[in-house]
Amino acid sequence: MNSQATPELSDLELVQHVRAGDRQAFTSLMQRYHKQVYRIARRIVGNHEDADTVAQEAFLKAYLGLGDFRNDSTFHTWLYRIAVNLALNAVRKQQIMSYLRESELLARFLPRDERSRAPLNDSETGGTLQEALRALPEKQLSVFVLRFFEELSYEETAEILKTSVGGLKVNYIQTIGQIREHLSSVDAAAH
Amino acid sequence: MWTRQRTEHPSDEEEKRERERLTSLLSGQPEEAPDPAYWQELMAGTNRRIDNASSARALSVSWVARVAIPGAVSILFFFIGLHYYVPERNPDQVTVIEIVSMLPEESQDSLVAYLLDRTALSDSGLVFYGDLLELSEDEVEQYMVASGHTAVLLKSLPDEHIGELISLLQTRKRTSRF
Repeated sequence: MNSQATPELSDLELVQHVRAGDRQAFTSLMQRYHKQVYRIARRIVGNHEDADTVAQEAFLKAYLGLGDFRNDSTFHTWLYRIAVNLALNAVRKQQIMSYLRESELLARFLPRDERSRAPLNDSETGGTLQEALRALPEKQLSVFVLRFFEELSYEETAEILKTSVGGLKVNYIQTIGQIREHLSSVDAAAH
Repeated sequence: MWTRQRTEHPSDEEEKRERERLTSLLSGQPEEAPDPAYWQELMAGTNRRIDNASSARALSVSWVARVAIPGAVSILFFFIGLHYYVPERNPDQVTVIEIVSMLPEESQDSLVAYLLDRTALSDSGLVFYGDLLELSEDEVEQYMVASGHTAVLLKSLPDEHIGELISLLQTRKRTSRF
């Protein structure tokens, strides 16, 4: 395969090249989407370390699972779905870790270095916005991240989250309202 | 907190307005972008992981193709050959019995116990192969009782290898007496 020509190829063509054994074609796909995948993960998980892990895992999973990718969806929505699912899993793990840190089970199950690791602070997580995002249910959080930050269409968002467009619009507007109220209340308290 | 529930679909204008209001509130929020050098690290790290995963997968496929399948075929042919061509005994050849005799006594006990258990499970016929047991029944009983098994169980032995093993144990016992 001629990898020099990959910048002009569509996602689907690159996918076909990867399936034919062109490893460089997958690097081209990564080049196109690595920032988006990281940003989605970062907004959902709330910290760099987990976002980095999620982004790498997402690409690895996409590469190994490219045989399962069907052409009835676009490559990037398929990839983003993998990233969102991995990120939500990471959030669940964070919640479990948070519970363990607060409980007496900590001493029994966690290695010493994990025990001493402090919970993420506001400066690391983006402060009040991240607090507001943390308070959202998983679906609302995913919709908000994909629509507000990544500016994906409702159709793409619905495809990623495997849901209907109609429900998403209401969900999204409500989430914006919730976050705005949270930020306003914090701002009012500060003054 | 935002608690109002709505079911009607918002218009595009309304969504745009809401978005702008939130964007202006977020203008003071810290940027979450990583160091610019990170993007190269992300690409390099991901490529490494993909290469590792690919080579592991290739190794596994090639292992099945090059080792497992030929190995299974060889074993199959070995047993077929063993079935049709009984090898002539070479006096210099080390026998299974000799190998077993090199085992520690506890291992021999375990081996006999395993074979006996296996035999006991297949209770198709409780036949006493007296001709295979060259040692006296007393001696056998003595050994079996000492190793936690009963003489009744011993009498169910259908396998000549078990007889050979017990003979071996008897030989060991005789040797240890002197």
